[in-house]
Amino acid sequence: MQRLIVFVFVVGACLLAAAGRADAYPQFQFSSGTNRCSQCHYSPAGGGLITQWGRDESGDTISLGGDGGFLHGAWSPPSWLALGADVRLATTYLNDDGQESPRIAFFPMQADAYFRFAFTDAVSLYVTAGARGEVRPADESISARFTTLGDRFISREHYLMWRPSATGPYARVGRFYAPYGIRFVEHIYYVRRYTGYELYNETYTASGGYVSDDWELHVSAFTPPPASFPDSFQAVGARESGGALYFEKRLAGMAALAAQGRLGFGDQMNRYQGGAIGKLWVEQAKVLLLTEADFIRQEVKAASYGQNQLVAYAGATVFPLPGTMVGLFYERFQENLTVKDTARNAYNLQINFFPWAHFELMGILRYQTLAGPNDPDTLLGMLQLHYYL
Amino acid sequence: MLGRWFIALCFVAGVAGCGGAVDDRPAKWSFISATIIEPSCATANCHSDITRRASVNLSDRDVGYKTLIDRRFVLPGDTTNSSALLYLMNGQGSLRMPPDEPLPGADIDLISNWIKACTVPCND
Repeated sequence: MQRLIVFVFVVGACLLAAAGRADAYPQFQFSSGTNRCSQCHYSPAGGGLITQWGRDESGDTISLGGDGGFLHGAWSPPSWLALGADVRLATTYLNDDGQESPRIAFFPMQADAYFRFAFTDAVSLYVTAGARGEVRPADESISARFTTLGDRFISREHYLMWRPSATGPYARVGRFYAPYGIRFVEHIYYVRRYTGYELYNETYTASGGYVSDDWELHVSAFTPPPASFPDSFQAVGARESGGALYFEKRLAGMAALAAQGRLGFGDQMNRYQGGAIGKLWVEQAKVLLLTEADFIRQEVKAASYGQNQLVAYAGATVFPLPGTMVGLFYERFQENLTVKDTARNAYNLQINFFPWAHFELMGILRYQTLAGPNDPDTLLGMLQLHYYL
Repeated sequence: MLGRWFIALCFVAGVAGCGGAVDDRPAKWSFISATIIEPSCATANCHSDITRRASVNLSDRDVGYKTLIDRRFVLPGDTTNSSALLYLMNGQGSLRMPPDEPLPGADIDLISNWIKACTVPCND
C-alpha cells in the first residue's frame, strides 16, 4: 500500500509539473476490432478518458500485456466515477537550416488528469485539468517548471453530457472540440493545425448527434471562450464562432467514409471549410489506410480579400507485430491555391510501441518541404514516452 | 471499390496544391495578421495571448501591430529588409521564427512588402 501511495504521489507530481494535450488514436478504429471511437472513449466522438472496454483493450489488444485498468487494476473506482491521466515526456531534434540549427529540446509534453462523474445512467460531467506545455520555457530548470504551474494550469475540456446508452442519441454542452476531422494525437499535423483544431483551441460547444454501429452524426455550434475568462479557460488560435457537422458511414466493419463541414466567423476573418475522410482496414495485410482532404475558404474582411486553401493527409499504418504500429504518411497544406510557393509538404514516419498496458514509446521522423525554390527544408525527430494511468 | 476511392482521394490531395507564380495577396497588416502571423506565430508555445513568449503577443491584429511597431521588430518604411522580424523569419543571427516550421519565402516577401510600404499607422 505504501508503494502505491508513493506511486500515486509521484505520478501526481509529474502531472502537475508537465504539460497538456490529449486526443485519440484513430489508427485503432477497425484495426483493433473496434468500429466506433466511442467504444473505447467516454466522448461520443472519441478522445480523452477511456472506458472500461478501452482499458481492457489496452491490455489485451493494443499492448503486449498487462492490466489496463485504473492504477493497473490495483483499485477500481465506484461506477459513478471514472479517473485517468496522461503524461508524456518528449525530446525533439529540429534542423531547419537556420543559424541556430540543429536544436535539441527535452520537455514535459502533456500532463492531464481526467474526471468523469456519472450522476445517473444518462447524465455525466467530464473534466480535464492539467498544465499547459512549454517546449522552450524562458527558464528551463526543473524548479521553474514547478513554480510556473499556477500560470500554466488549464482545463481544456469540461462538459455536461446526456447520453442514455453507448449507442443512440446524445447531447453535450461545455468546452471541447466540435467533432471534425481525423483527431490525431499529434497536433502538428496539418489536418489539425490548419482546420481550427490547433493545440488548446477547444471552444465552448453545444453538440448533439447519434452514434450507431454503422454510422454516426455530430452537429455542433461553438464559440471561443469569452475574453473575460481567466487564462486557464482561454483558447489559442483563431477566435471563431460557428458550427460544424461530421457524418461517418461505416462499411462492413472494415471501412468508413465521412463528410464534414465547418463554418467559423471571427472579427477579422470568416472561414468556410468542408472535406472528406476515408478509412480502410485491410485485415490480410494488417494495414489501415487513412486519408483526409479539406477545402478551406478564408475571407479577410478588412483586407477585402478571400483565398482558397487545401489541407490533406494520406497515410498507411501497419501493425507488423503485437504492440507495434508503424505509419508512413504524407501531408500537404497550401495556404493559397493561386500562389504556388505557399505550399508545404510533410513526409512522416511514425512508430508506436506499446510494450505493456499503460506505457507507450513513440518516435516520429518528419521531413517538411516548402515549395519556394530557396525555402529551407525542416527535419524533425521526436521521441516520446507516454504513460496513462 | 474502397481501395479505388482511397487512391482517388490521395490523388486529389497530392495534385490539387498547384497555382501560379504571381502573388496577388494584399500586403496589408489585416491580411498578414489573420492568415500568416496568427496561425504561425500566436501558437500555444509561443506568442499566443496566454503564453506571450518574450512578452510578445501576436494573437490579435491590433495588439500584434502595436507590439511589432513599439518594440521595433518592424521598422516602418524599411527598404533594406533590416527589420528584426525579417531577420528572425529568415533564421539569421537567431533562432528561426517560427521555430517549429519556417514560413514560406512567399509569406516573408509579403511581410517585407508590407513593411516597405508602411507609413505609420499601417495597420489597415
